[in-house]
Amino acid sequence: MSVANAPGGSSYGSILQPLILAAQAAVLPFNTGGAGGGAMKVTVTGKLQLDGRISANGGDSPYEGGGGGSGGSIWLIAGTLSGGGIISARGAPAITLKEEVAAVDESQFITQQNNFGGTMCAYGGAGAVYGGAEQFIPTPTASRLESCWSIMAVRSARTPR
Amino acid sequence: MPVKPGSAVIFPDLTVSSNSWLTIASNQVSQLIVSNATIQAAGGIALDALASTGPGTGGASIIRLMVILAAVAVTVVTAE
Repeated sequence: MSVANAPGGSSYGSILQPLILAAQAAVLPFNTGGAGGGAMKVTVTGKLQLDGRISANGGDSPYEGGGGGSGGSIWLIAGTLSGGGIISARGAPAITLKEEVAAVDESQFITQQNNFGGTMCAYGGAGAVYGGAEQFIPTPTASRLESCWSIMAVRSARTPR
Repeated sequence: MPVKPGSAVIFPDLTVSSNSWLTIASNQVSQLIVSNATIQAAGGIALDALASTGPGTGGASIIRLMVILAAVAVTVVTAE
Protein backbone atom coordinates (compact mmCIF):
# COMPACT_ATOMS: atom_id res chain seq x y z
CA MET A 1 0.00 0.00 0.00
CA SER A 2 1.33 3.42 -0.82
CA VAL A 3 1.67 6.33 1.51
CA ALA A 4 -1.38 7.76 -0.20
CA ASN A 5 -3.30 4.74 1.08
CA ALA A 6 -3.92 3.25 -2.30
CA PRO A 7 -3.59 -0.51 -2.07
CA GLY A 8 -1.64 -2.60 -4.51
CA GLY A 9 -3.47 -5.24 -6.48
CA SER A 10 -4.18 -8.67 -5.10
CA SER A 11 -2.34 -11.74 -6.24
CA TYR A 12 -4.08 -13.69 -8.95
CA GLY A 13 -3.90 -16.86 -10.97
CA SER A 14 -2.16 -20.09 -10.09
CA ILE A 15 1.40 -20.19 -8.83
CA LEU A 16 1.69 -23.68 -10.31
CA GLN A 17 0.17 -22.86 -13.67
CA PRO A 18 0.59 -19.14 -14.21
CA LEU A 19 -0.72 -18.15 -17.57
CA ILE A 20 -2.84 -15.09 -17.03
CA LEU A 21 -2.33 -11.68 -18.48
CA ALA A 22 -1.73 -8.92 -16.00
CA ALA A 23 -3.75 -5.79 -15.54
CA GLN A 24 -3.26 -2.27 -16.58
CA ALA A 25 -3.07 -0.04 -13.55
CA ALA A 26 -6.17 1.65 -12.23
CA VAL A 27 -7.17 4.83 -13.94
CA LEU A 28 -8.15 8.09 -12.35
CA PRO A 29 -9.41 11.19 -14.14
CA PHE A 30 -6.69 12.52 -16.41
CA ASN A 31 -4.45 9.62 -15.59
CA THR A 32 -3.69 6.43 -17.43
CA GLY A 33 -2.10 3.48 -15.70
CA GLY A 34 0.77 1.45 -17.05
CA ALA A 35 0.08 -1.71 -19.02
CA GLY A 36 0.39 -5.08 -17.31
CA GLY A 37 2.88 -7.75 -18.25
CA GLY A 38 2.06 -10.38 -20.84
CA ALA A 39 1.85 -14.13 -20.37
CA MET A 40 3.69 -17.00 -22.02
CA LYS A 41 4.36 -20.66 -21.33
CA VAL A 42 7.86 -21.61 -22.39
CA THR A 43 8.69 -25.31 -22.58
CA VAL A 44 12.27 -26.34 -23.29
CA THR A 45 12.49 -30.09 -23.40
CA GLY A 46 16.28 -30.05 -23.42
CA LYS A 47 18.65 -27.34 -22.31
CA LEU A 48 17.89 -23.67 -21.80
CA GLN A 49 20.99 -21.52 -21.69
CA LEU A 50 19.73 -18.20 -20.41
CA ASP A 51 22.22 -15.37 -20.34
CA GLY A 52 19.75 -12.75 -21.48
CA ARG A 53 16.30 -12.01 -20.15
CA ILE A 54 12.82 -13.50 -20.03
CA SER A 55 10.50 -10.88 -18.63
CA ALA A 56 6.83 -10.03 -18.26
CA ASN A 57 7.13 -6.86 -16.27
CA GLY A 58 4.43 -4.28 -15.82
CA GLY A 59 4.87 -1.01 -17.62
CA ASP A 60 5.20 2.47 -16.22
CA SER A 61 2.36 4.86 -16.71
CA PRO A 62 2.97 7.28 -19.55
CA TYR A 63 1.34 10.03 -17.51
CA GLU A 64 2.04 11.52 -14.14
CA GLY A 65 -0.54 10.27 -11.71
CA GLY A 66 -1.02 6.86 -13.25
CA GLY A 67 -0.10 3.68 -11.44
CA GLY A 68 2.33 1.02 -12.55
CA GLY A 69 1.09 -2.06 -14.35
CA SER A 70 1.00 -5.51 -12.76
CA GLY A 71 3.58 -8.10 -13.49
CA GLY A 72 2.51 -10.78 -15.94
CA SER A 73 3.02 -14.54 -16.02
CA ILE A 74 5.98 -16.67 -17.03
CA TRP A 75 5.46 -20.41 -16.96
CA LEU A 76 8.87 -21.85 -17.66
CA ILE A 77 9.58 -25.56 -17.95
CA ALA A 78 13.11 -26.62 -18.80
CA GLY A 79 15.00 -29.87 -18.73
CA THR A 80 18.19 -28.08 -17.79
CA LEU A 81 18.39 -24.42 -16.92
CA SER A 82 21.78 -22.75 -17.11
CA GLY A 83 23.24 -19.30 -17.46
CA GLY A 84 23.34 -16.04 -15.59
CA GLY A 85 20.42 -14.14 -17.04
CA ILE A 86 17.23 -12.71 -15.62
CA ILE A 87 13.73 -14.10 -15.28
CA SER A 88 11.41 -11.37 -14.14
CA ALA A 89 7.68 -10.70 -13.75
CA ARG A 90 7.45 -7.69 -11.53
CA GLY A 91 4.99 -4.90 -11.13
CA ALA A 92 6.01 -1.43 -12.15
CA PRO A 93 6.44 1.12 -9.38
CA ALA A 94 4.17 4.05 -8.95
CA ILE A 95 6.12 7.23 -9.43
CA THR A 96 5.66 10.83 -8.51
CA LEU A 97 2.05 11.66 -7.87
CA LYS A 98 0.91 8.17 -8.64
CA GLU A 99 -1.58 7.15 -6.02
CA GLU A 100 -1.93 3.51 -6.69
CA VAL A 101 0.08 0.60 -7.83
CA ALA A 102 -0.93 -2.63 -9.41
CA ALA A 103 1.74 -4.96 -8.36
CA VAL A 104 1.16 -8.64 -8.18
CA ASP A 105 2.39 -11.35 -10.42
CA GLU A 106 2.72 -15.07 -10.69
CA SER A 107 5.56 -17.07 -12.08
CA GLN A 108 6.50 -20.67 -12.04
CA PHE A 109 9.79 -22.21 -12.98
CA ILE A 110 10.17 -25.95 -13.29
CA THR A 111 13.43 -27.59 -14.15
CA GLN A 112 14.89 -31.03 -13.71
CA GLN A 113 18.40 -29.69 -13.40
CA ASN A 114 19.17 -26.20 -12.25
CA ASN A 115 22.53 -24.69 -13.06
CA PHE A 116 21.10 -21.23 -13.27
CA GLY A 117 23.11 -18.56 -11.53
CA GLY A 118 21.06 -15.61 -12.65
CA THR A 119 18.22 -13.73 -11.04
CA MET A 120 14.55 -14.58 -10.78
CA CYS A 121 12.19 -11.88 -9.61
CA ALA A 122 8.46 -11.61 -9.06
CA TYR A 123 7.57 -8.72 -6.82
CA GLY A 124 5.18 -5.83 -6.73
CA GLY A 125 6.06 -2.30 -7.60
CA ALA A 126 6.50 0.40 -5.01
CA GLY A 127 3.64 2.66 -4.10
CA ALA A 128 3.59 6.41 -4.45
CA VAL A 129 5.25 8.48 -1.81
CA TYR A 130 4.25 12.00 -0.96
CA GLY A 131 7.19 13.72 0.64
CA GLY A 132 5.91 17.22 1.17
CA ALA A 133 7.59 19.62 -1.21
CA GLU A 134 9.66 16.85 -2.64
CA GLN A 135 8.14 13.85 -4.30
CA PHE A 136 10.37 11.06 -5.33
CA ILE A 137 10.53 7.62 -6.77
CA PRO A 138 10.99 5.07 -4.03
CA THR A 139 13.56 2.44 -4.76
CA PRO A 140 12.84 -1.20 -4.08
CA THR A 141 13.33 -2.05 -0.46
CA ALA A 142 15.39 -4.91 0.84
CA SER A 143 12.24 -6.91 1.42
CA ARG A 144 11.31 -6.60 -2.23
CA LEU A 145 14.76 -7.57 -3.34
CA GLU A 146 14.56 -10.62 -1.14
CA SER A 147 11.81 -11.90 -3.36
CA CYS A 148 14.38 -12.30 -6.11
CA TRP A 149 16.04 -15.66 -6.00
CA SER A 150 19.60 -16.19 -7.09
CA ILE A 151 19.12 -19.94 -7.14
CA MET A 152 15.81 -21.68 -7.56
CA ALA A 153 15.24 -24.96 -5.82
CA VAL A 154 15.31 -27.92 -8.13
CA ARG A 155 11.87 -29.30 -8.78
CA SER A 156 10.81 -32.30 -10.67
CA ALA A 157 9.28 -31.58 -14.00
CA ARG A 158 5.62 -32.40 -14.07
CA THR A 159 2.95 -32.83 -16.60
CA PRO A 160 0.64 -29.82 -16.56
CA ARG A 161 -2.74 -30.71 -15.28
CA MET B 1 10.06 -11.73 -34.21
CA PRO B 2 6.30 -11.81 -33.56
CA VAL B 3 4.69 -15.07 -32.44
CA LYS B 4 1.21 -15.84 -33.73
CA PRO B 5 -1.25 -14.83 -31.02
CA GLY B 6 -2.82 -17.52 -28.91
CA SER B 7 -0.96 -20.38 -30.50
CA ALA B 8 1.77 -22.84 -29.60
CA VAL B 9 4.91 -22.24 -31.60
CA ILE B 10 7.31 -25.15 -31.94
CA PHE B 11 10.98 -24.87 -32.81
CA PRO B 12 13.56 -27.62 -32.79
CA ASP B 13 16.13 -25.17 -31.51
CA LEU B 14 15.93 -21.52 -30.72
CA THR B 15 18.69 -18.96 -30.45
CA VAL B 16 17.96 -15.40 -29.48
CA SER B 17 21.07 -13.39 -30.19
CA SER B 18 22.26 -10.29 -28.41
CA ASN B 19 20.09 -7.26 -29.07
CA SER B 20 17.34 -9.49 -30.46
CA TRP B 21 13.94 -9.94 -28.87
CA LEU B 22 11.14 -12.42 -29.24
CA THR B 23 7.74 -11.07 -28.30
CA ILE B 24 4.03 -11.60 -28.79
CA ALA B 25 1.04 -9.43 -29.62
CA SER B 26 -0.67 -7.44 -26.90
CA ASN B 27 -3.36 -9.15 -24.82
CA GLN B 28 -2.53 -12.61 -26.10
CA VAL B 29 -1.31 -15.71 -24.30
CA SER B 30 1.09 -17.87 -26.27
CA GLN B 31 3.03 -21.04 -25.78
CA LEU B 32 6.56 -21.64 -26.98
CA ILE B 33 7.91 -25.17 -27.24
CA VAL B 34 11.53 -25.83 -28.16
CA SER B 35 14.00 -28.66 -27.82
CA ASN B 36 16.94 -26.50 -26.85
CA ALA B 37 17.18 -22.77 -26.44
CA THR B 38 19.97 -20.28 -26.08
CA ILE B 39 19.25 -16.72 -25.09
CA GLN B 40 22.34 -14.59 -25.31
CA ALA B 41 23.14 -11.64 -23.11
CA ALA B 42 21.29 -8.44 -24.00
CA GLY B 43 18.65 -10.44 -25.84
CA GLY B 44 15.62 -12.36 -24.75
CA ILE B 45 11.91 -12.95 -24.60
CA ALA B 46 10.15 -9.71 -23.75
CA LEU B 47 6.52 -9.69 -22.64
CA ASP B 48 6.71 -6.39 -20.82
CA ALA B 49 3.68 -4.10 -20.74
CA LEU B 50 1.63 -6.17 -23.20
CA ALA B 51 -1.62 -6.56 -21.28
CA SER B 52 -4.52 -4.36 -20.33
CA THR B 53 -7.34 -6.71 -19.47
CA GLY B 54 -6.14 -9.01 -16.69
CA PRO B 55 -6.53 -9.07 -12.92
CA GLY B 56 -4.28 -7.54 -10.29
CA THR B 57 -5.19 -3.92 -10.65
CA GLY B 58 -4.27 -1.85 -7.65
CA GLY B 59 -6.62 0.51 -5.91
CA ALA B 60 -6.80 4.21 -6.54
CA SER B 61 -6.29 6.78 -3.87
CA ILE B 62 -8.85 9.52 -3.44
CA ILE B 63 -6.06 11.96 -2.61
CA ARG B 64 -5.18 12.60 -6.24
CA LEU B 65 -8.82 13.14 -7.13
CA MET B 66 -9.18 15.59 -4.26
CA VAL B 67 -6.14 17.52 -5.46
CA ILE B 68 -7.62 17.76 -8.93
CA LEU B 69 -11.00 18.92 -7.62
CA ALA B 70 -9.34 21.47 -5.37
CA ALA B 71 -7.36 22.84 -8.28
CA VAL B 72 -10.53 23.12 -10.35
CA ALA B 73 -12.32 24.90 -7.50
CA VAL B 74 -9.48 27.37 -7.08
CA THR B 75 -9.51 28.07 -10.80
CA VAL B 76 -13.26 28.70 -10.79
CA VAL B 77 -13.08 31.00 -7.78
CA THR B 78 -10.18 32.91 -9.27
CA ALA B 79 -12.01 33.32 -12.55
CA GLU B 80 -15.01 34.74 -10.75
